[in-house]
Amino acid sequence: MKWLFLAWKNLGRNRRRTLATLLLIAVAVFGLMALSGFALYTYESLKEASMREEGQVILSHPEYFQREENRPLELGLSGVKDLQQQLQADSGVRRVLARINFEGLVSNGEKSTIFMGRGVEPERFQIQGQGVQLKQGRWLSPQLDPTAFPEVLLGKRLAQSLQVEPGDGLTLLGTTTEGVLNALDVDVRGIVSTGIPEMDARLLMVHLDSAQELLVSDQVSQLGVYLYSSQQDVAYYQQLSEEYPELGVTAWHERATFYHSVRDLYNRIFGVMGVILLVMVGFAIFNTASMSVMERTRELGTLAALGTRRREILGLFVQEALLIALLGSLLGLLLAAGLSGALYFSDVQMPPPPGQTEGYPLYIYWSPLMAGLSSLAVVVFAALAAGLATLKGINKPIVEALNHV
Amino acid sequence: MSLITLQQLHKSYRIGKQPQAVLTGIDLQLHQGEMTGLIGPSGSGKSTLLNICGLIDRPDSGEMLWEGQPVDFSAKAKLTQLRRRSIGFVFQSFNLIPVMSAADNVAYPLWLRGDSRSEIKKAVQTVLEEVEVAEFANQLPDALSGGQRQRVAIARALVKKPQLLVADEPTASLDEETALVVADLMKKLGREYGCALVIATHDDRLKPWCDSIYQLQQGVLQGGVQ
Ligand SMILES: Nc1ncnc2c1ncn2[C@@H]1O[C@H](COP(=O)(O)OP(=O)(O)OP(=O)(O)O)[C@@H](O)[C@H]1O
Ligand SMILES: [Mg+2]
Repeated sequence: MKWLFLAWKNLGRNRRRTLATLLLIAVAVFGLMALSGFALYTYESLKEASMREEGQVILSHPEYFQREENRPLELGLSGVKDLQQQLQADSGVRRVLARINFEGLVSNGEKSTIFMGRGVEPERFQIQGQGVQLKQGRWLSPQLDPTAFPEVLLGKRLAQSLQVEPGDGLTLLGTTTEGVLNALDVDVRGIVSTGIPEMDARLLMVHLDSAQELLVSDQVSQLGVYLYSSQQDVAYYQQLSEEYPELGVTAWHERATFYHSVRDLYNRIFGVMGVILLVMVGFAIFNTASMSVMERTRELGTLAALGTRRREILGLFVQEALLIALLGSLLGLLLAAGLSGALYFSDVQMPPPPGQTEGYPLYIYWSPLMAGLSSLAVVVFAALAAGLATLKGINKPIVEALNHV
Repeated sequence: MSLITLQQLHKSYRIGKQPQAVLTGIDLQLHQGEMTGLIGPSGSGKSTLLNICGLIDRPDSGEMLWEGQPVDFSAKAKLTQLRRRSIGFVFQSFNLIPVMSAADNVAYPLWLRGDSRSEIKKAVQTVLEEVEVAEFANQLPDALSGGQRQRVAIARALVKKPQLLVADEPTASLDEETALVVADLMKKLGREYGCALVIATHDDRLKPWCDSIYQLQQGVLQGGVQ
């Protein structure tokens, strides 16, 4: 306790140097927090987007994600209504939404182009996140109007290529499950963007019923289970795997390739940057401790002559470094919390990521775990650097230290 | 029995390739309660001899006995322990710890030894009164005069009631009047606390305070009890 008190007093000897080191550590911790906070936010957003796109757990034909279908809905699920009801009985389940993935041609009468179709239930538009944004017109109606033409949503670039706007008519061409050609006249209800140009050039969304009408089937491609809590996905996945061994049960992250590639990339980039920051902290502390050992050489000689043990002197300098590191960390954590709060209340947009057209709001998480880890890392580095810097000084013979000017 | 006995102590420094002998066969005894003076021209080796007595330097050869037991100069931890418990130092340039108050400087050796708070407080108060700087107890060393600082340093050296007090030119940084007062104080307290006091000095006026005086010349001691 007394050593700590002495260490504290020694910090006041060269205030400017102490402050400079402390600020550097604060900046480093702030940097670590900002980098990790941004990464965590990104991971969380991508996870959320993935979950909202297809559900936390996806049920399908066991081979659906393993191989290509030769005919539409060759690997479809049937008896879906019952299955949906069974699943919905679980109180943790918010929605069970069916989806059909299919392909075909869409024509405006003059020009035809390939589309990538999604037959969806309109509830999905209530729970989807930022993954699909409405650019023009409206989302699909909650109820299909039997007297009107079926509605479609078109990807932005698909709409451009067909030169249509909401309210215009189109014709969908597809093969039924039997392999027979079928056509369906539809109305453009809205134009959407996924932010991914390749996707926007092909995407076409229709009501599930309209897709079944075109394909002449009552099957679906997949059932997405949406849970109330995004933390329950693992447990729920295991539960479903046991309950439905005859079905394909897929967890959201098995489908989230983008999530995984971003995560791998960021972990690497930010990991390297984090190490650089820590090394910087190490050098700063080493420098500060070396300088104060130098300046206090005679004092170290005095302390040693009075019978202070070497490791006690070492401990003193390490404690000085620890105090600076702790105070610096604290300041850095506060700064990071400030930034996190400021971003929360302001609306700073990030530019679109490479290969995408939509920006997204910038935010950084202030994670207690990362706060603990970065402070710990900084403190450990500081202690090591100070110890290393001091070792040299305390190995000097006492007489030499006492005669030092 | 003497506290310290030096037998045929040799020490030389190597300057370049040439070894330069500083101590060439020192025989000396230091007794508790007595003040021993070392005089001699600058560079004669007074500090070197004192540093060996204070266990912060080691001889090349010869024997040093502490209460009759040979001192092993390679056992660093033991030397530290002995200094911590039994040796006090007074330096020419005071060497107080600048961030600690006078009282804390004096308390340091006791605290190092692990005394209790109340014991420390009492002992510090007593010794500060004896060296007559109790009123400056809470001042930092920078705020004290040279004489006051050296009094605090003497208090720091004596507070643990050491068996040996080593003082290398303790009055050299003080004006003449203060020097005599400080010498007086060391002599009085050294006797009172029962420690062997060895002091190196240029100042001939300190001679009368010493129980024995040695002149260091050409690496050996001359003189003795007066
Ligand atoms: N670390 C060292 N390296 C080399 N030579 C040294 C060292 N320390 C002392 N000496 C030499 O040893 C001799 C004795 O030095 P010492 O300091 O003991 O003398 P001193 O009697 O205390 O002198 P002063 O009265 O000036 O304090 C001197 O010639 C000095 O140059
Ligand atoms: Mg000297």
